Formats: sequence, C-alpha cells, structure tokens
Amino acid sequence: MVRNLFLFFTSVLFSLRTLAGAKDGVLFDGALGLPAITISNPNGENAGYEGISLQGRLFAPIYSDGAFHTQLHGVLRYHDLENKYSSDGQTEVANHIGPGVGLSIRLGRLTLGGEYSLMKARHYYIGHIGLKTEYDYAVGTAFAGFVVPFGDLSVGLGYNYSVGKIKKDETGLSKDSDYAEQSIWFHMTYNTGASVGDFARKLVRP
Amino acid sequence: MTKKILKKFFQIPFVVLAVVSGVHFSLSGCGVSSDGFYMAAIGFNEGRILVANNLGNPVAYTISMYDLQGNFIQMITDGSLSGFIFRGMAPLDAHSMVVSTDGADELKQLNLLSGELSTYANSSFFAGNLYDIVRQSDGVYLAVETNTIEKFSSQARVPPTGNPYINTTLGSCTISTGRGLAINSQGELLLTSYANSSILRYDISGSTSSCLSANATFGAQQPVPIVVHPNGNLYFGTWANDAIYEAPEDLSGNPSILLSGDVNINNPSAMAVLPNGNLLVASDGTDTIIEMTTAGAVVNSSFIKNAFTSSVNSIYVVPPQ
Repeated sequence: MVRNLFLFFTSVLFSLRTLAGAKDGVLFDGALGLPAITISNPNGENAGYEGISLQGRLFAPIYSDGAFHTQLHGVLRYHDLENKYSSDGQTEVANHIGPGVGLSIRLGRLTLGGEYSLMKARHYYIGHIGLKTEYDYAVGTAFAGFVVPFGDLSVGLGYNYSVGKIKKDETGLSKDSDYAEQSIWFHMTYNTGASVGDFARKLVRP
Repeated sequence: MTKKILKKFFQIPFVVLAVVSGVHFSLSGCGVSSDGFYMAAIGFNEGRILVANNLGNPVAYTISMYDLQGNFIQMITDGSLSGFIFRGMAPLDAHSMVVSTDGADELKQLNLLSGELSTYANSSFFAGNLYDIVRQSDGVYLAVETNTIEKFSSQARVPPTGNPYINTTLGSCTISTGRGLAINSQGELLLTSYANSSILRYDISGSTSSCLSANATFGAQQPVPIVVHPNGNLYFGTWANDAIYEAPEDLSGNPSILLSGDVNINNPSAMAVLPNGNLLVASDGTDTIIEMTTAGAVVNSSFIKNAFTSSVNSIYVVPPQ
C-alpha cells in the first residue's frame, strides 16, 4: 500500500516534470536552525522559547525555465526548545516534531516558498514537581533564502516565519494559543542529479 | 578562489534576504522574550486549589497545592521558621498570589511555581492582626487588619497616611474583629465581623468608602469565612452554631441557614467555590476540607484531609486557565 502510494506520488511528479521539460534533479536539503518561538497564554502573556532546530527536506522539481524553477517538497522539522523564563529552580523544555509539504520557487540563487506542517509537541516542566503535556497543532510557514552552489553541493542561508494555532481542545486551556516562529537556517543541499522517476526507481529497485 | 567565494556570497539575493530578515527581527524584537511558562505545561489548564494553614503546635504555617479533585500536588511554601502566618490569598498574575501575612504583618508575593516569597507591600500602619485579603482590581487589594480595612494600590497604602481606607466605624457598619472578605458582582465589599456577628457591606468604588448595610439578623453566631458565588448568592460560615448560611450577594434579603448540625462542620474557617459550583469549606474542628453543594448537601466529607489541613485560614481556587 505504502509502495503503491509512493509510486503514484512520484509518477505524478514525473509527469509534471515531463510536461514541463525540467532539467533539475531531486534535491536533499539538511538545515540547522536557530528558532525564536512564542506561544500565547490565555491571559495574554507569552511563553517564549529558543533553542535549536533540525530540518530535512526532499525537493522534487516540477518546472524549470532558465533561472526559474518550481519544486514540491516534503519536510521533517524538529525543534529542541527551552523557555526563556526558565531559571535554576524551574525549567520548561519542549520538543516539537512533525512532517509537512510545501511548494517553492527558485529564481537564480534566491528561494521563496511556503509549507504546511502538522506538528506534535511535548512540554516538560521541571521544578518542585515535574509535569508533562502533549498536543498537536498545524502551522503554516513562509520562507526565503539563498543558495550558493559548489558543484552538486550548495550551501545557503534561510529565514522562515511560521504561524499556527494550538487548539484549546488539545491543551485543555480556555482559549486557543497563538503560535509564532521565526528561524534562521543554515542549509546544505545535495543535488542527486536524478530525475524524479529515476530517483523513485532507484529507491524501489532491489 | 577565496575572492570568488566571497563575491558569490555578497550578491543581491543575500542582501535581499538580510534586509527582509533584519527588518522582521527588528520589528518583532531580537530573539524572544518570555513572560512566563506555557500554562498548559505547568498544569494551569486543569486548575488548582491553594490551602493556607496555621497550626500552632507543632508550628506549621504552610501553603499547599492540590488539583481540582483534591489530590495533593505539593507544598508550595513553609513560613514556619520565619514566623509567617498566611491568613489570606488573592491573585496577582498567572503564577503569583498576594498573601496577607501576620507575624510579619505585610503583604507578600508568592510565586506558585518556585515557592519564592517576597515583600509585595508593607506599611507601618500594620500593627494589629492581619486577616483576609481580596483583590478589587489589578494591583488594588483590601486587607482586614483587626477592626479596620487597609487598601493598597500599586503596592502603596491608600491613603498614604492617616486613617485606614475603612475605619472601625463607618456609618452603620462597625467592624469588631474582622475576618473574611469578598467582593460581589456589583463590586461591593463584604466583610464578616466576628465579634459583633455582622455581615458588613461597603461601597468601595471611590477614593473614600461608605457603608451600604450591616446585617446581624442571623444572631450572635460569629461569622468567619465568606464567599460570593456566581449564582448571585453569598455564603458564610459561623463558629457559634457551626453552620453555613446563604444570602443574596447584595444582602437584599436576610441570611438563612443552608447547613447546620452536620458533624463535618466544626468551626468553618475558610471557604471557596469550585469551578463545578460546589463549595469548599475548611472545618477547623475536624482539620478537614469538605465539599458541599449550594443546596446544602455534603458530597465529600473528606475532600482534603492531611497534615496541611489543620487550622486552615484560607482556600483559593485557581480556575482552569
């Protein structure tokens, strides 16, 4: 079932690429991020977090024309966070992880795009007592960045702004919580050079 | 080669990105600031019950925390060694309370998460027995001090000097050993006056206060705790006959007995309203906190009973946030 879905998805991409006559290959992108995240409390106060983020993306080209490229991509993002209000006596840490899909446009070395992700979050409070809470939320992301190619490898710098709502049904709070994230990303990208179809065949061929 | 790489980095896309992200970070602040913890992470999505007790022998002056089912979570602070007798609690912000503290005779700020106690407001006019405290509005608190009521705004006494905001005798209201405080939905202050067995009602909307009414129709029953309920009634407990009374919150009708003669009620010393509408009553004679309905039925005669429910002075319910 999973293999069939995968083949269907990649064949759609392959068709799009064929129609567009694109020349780009499938790209892997790994990034290390510095996030700044705020989550609103029902009383209007904000819980602010910083930490480190990791992100992996797989780009599939769907249209290319000279310096203009359009790509679909899947993303898996992870945040390791600590509340800035933490002190020696009490700490709140959080892990957020989740997959997403997106669409990006590359104009020369400038990349712009958007993503939609479904995240799972887990927060731990450690003080006199220890508490844990978990919830899911959806987040929309707009990003921009630039890449500098060195053969098949590229390095780049990116910035993203994400917003979402953490539903009160998930947390038990009296109101939905607003989620806002800004991150700076350091990217390293590898161009496989393989078309979507070739890439898919390599993956499923024994 | 190095020159070539640097040249590539300092091209237009980089400049565009730097400007966009720089402007955004400038507008939203560099990095991120935090006002506190996420309430869902610290359990404030569930609500909490705070209990302040004052046991004389052995000395135990504590504030402890429970979930809304009465399960013990933690002892937040212990004032035994410092001689801090916690008499009343009122909310300050999402994770702090203002606590009226006898012994030290001051208003203290209590961080519910860390247990840290610090001075919130002090006054040389605090010279008697400090009892209950209530929040009128943000930063404005009223506290019972023997036979007067002191007012604090932005951590300063109001008025700064001279007579207290509500003196012993004001119109037809006379305070004689004031104990419990509450504010009704009209913003009027209600006080239990123990020694002359009265419920006093004040207008506190202005810079000076006035007495609206004094009700002593329930006899010499020595009222102590009082709460205002969202159903439009007030409830108070009395020591002479170990009873719980009900009355309209504006005292437009006389108090009537809701519960008496129940073995679970023995010197009711503190009261609070649960989010489900039921009442919590601390019974000093049995060292227990009971749960009862506003119809007068005891639904849990041992809602909380442990080492921290001896001589309870105050119960405060932090509602689910």
